[in-house]
Amino acid sequence: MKYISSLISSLAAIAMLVTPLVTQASSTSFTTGDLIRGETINTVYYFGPDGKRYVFPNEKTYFTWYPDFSNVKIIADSELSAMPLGRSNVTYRPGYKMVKITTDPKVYAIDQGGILRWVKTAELAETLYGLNWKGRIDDIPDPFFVNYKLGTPIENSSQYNSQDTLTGTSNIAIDKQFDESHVTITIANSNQGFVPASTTVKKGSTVTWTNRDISVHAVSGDGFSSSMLQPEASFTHTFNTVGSFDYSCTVHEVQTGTVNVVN
Amino acid sequence: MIYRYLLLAGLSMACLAFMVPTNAATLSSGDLIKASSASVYYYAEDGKRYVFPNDKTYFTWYSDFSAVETISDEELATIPIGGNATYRPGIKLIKVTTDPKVYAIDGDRTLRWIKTEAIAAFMYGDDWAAQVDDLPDTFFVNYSVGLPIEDFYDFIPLTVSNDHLTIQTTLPKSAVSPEPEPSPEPSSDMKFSFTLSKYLVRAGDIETLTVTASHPSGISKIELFFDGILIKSCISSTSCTDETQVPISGTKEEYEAKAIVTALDTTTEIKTIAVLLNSGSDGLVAITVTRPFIKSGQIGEAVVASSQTIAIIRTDVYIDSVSTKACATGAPVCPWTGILTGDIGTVYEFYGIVTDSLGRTYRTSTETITISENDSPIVTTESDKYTIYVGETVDIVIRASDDDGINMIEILEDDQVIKTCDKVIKCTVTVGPWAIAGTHNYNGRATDGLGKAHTNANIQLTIE
Repeated sequence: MKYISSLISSLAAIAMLVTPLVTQASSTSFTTGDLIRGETINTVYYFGPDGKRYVFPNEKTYFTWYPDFSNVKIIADSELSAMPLGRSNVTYRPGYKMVKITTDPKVYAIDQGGILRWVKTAELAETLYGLNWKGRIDDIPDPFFVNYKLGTPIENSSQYNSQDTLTGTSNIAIDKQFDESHVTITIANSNQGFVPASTTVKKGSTVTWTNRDISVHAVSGDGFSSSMLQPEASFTHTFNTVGSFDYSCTVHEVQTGTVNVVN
Repeated sequence: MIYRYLLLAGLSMACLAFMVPTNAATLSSGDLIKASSASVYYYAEDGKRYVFPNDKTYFTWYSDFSAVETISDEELATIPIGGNATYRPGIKLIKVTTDPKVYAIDGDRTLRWIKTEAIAAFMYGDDWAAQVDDLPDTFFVNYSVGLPIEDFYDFIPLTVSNDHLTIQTTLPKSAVSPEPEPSPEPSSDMKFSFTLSKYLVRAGDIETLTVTASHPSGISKIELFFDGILIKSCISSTSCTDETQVPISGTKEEYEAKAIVTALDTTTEIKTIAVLLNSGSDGLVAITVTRPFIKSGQIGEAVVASSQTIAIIRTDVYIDSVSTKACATGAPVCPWTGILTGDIGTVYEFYGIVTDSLGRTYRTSTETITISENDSPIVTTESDKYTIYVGETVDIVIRASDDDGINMIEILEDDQVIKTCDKVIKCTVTVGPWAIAGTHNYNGRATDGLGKAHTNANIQLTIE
């Protein structure tokens, strides 16, 4: 159906005086495990290996993992919007503090994976967190309680060691049990490109490209090439040699990316 | 930050609480409860309390706080939190700040992306944008993402909201009902298959009915019926087939195909299949209104376009269900123009019906022209070529005009904005070169000086 209205062809005679500005977002390199935010809104996200961005429900949660915002990378709004939100939110770093909700006097210690474990007595809380244990409790707002799961209560001090739990959960990937040898790249529209455009993985890692655009795309690089990927379709390739692998979309040539494989 | 309204109401409720204490024993599922703090909870069938993440969520369910019961802090503490309440389905639209997608809320806490503004306007009216709430990113995890809404009737807001009158209807089902016992197959010695060549037909189509049957005593007779009329009778045969033409004129939306098989021992079995009549467009015909909003007395234009795969003998343009123009030339494009008048808010409905040489009809979707204070900008798309080769480029030119001036022109490739031009009436983008063959659709969206936007119809570019 090739129909074009020619109602106002007289307009062709009017000269163009203003050169239109095209805003092209600067492309910042970011990779799995990075902290990212967009250009206009200052919400910070954790970028997971599954290609999704994870929300910090509040600043208190953020500061259990990071001392400041110095490592937050600013990426293009268009790239940010191409990335889906994660199916869970970031929770408190395990071992860092105890938490409670305002409407329930129970105090919980946190285990890996956002598991809340009821600390049954004040004596036990003192054994786990020291004399100043009352200063080591944060109130979680009720709406964020659903981000956690209830585990078994802690009956005695042998069942939980806050310091071991803290050092054993050094980053969000460990807490969420992300498989960091499996990385997902979002295929967005030809304007947004691949998100992230450049990613670094360890040798032997599997990279999955998922088409989250409404058009068909295809991934092609040195040694790998996908078929036509319909919306929501994926293509997977395992990188077993060290090096930088450039690739592009065979449908939209402007869309390019790089996978850096390191030891 | 979150509890602005809840807090105000909560404080005044707290004073009352001392005078009229409520006993926890009287709580029943569906109650709204609070204790000394401001937060209000929904008490569900599982004996847990559900949190309202913000006041906007609360007000999709309740208009005020008059039904909230106050219980003691001790009682509240014994009720575990079950989760968060979500928006009432069908009431509002939501988006997250960092993603342009607008979602409708369906049952089971499911968000469904509304793919086009036209669908959003159909569902929630022209001021649908005013129905969109920003959902804080944090609460996105309370929802799951379902299938997008691609068609006008995929999602009827009123039906969806009427199906969800209580928060309980949106909560996860805690108890799994036992699997029903499989009902035993009726035992019969008759083995009998009945198939059709098409289950969705157009008027004039040829439909083929086929039966194969077996019975220990042997088959005596197979009879085939279409629309109640016997079309074939096969004697002493285990198979029977015949074709028939689907009636061209008629008002039925479905026909019945029927087969009766009789065995030699007089066992008889009947099977029927409903054949649905398709009068939709199948993407083969389309209607475009050049400007969906015009001022009273201006010229309105609607164009019905047909695929060249249809042997067109006639195209009718209907306004408010009355045929207003017939193009009998067989041309693939049938335009209607005329002056439309009316009070502001008057809506004219347009659709086209294309009839082919076999008498089959194809109906377009319905588009509207609304008499408005501010008319839509006129937007046109031009390209020097509509077919280019791999490696070539072509310029796509979008022009726009409006009495109020043009504020912005956007050029869209496959529904994605690829270029924006501010304060001009012409915007050009060079597209290509492509590495592989395919097709791309281009169109333009212009916004006038008063903020009214209009998107014109696609042109298709074929890369060979």
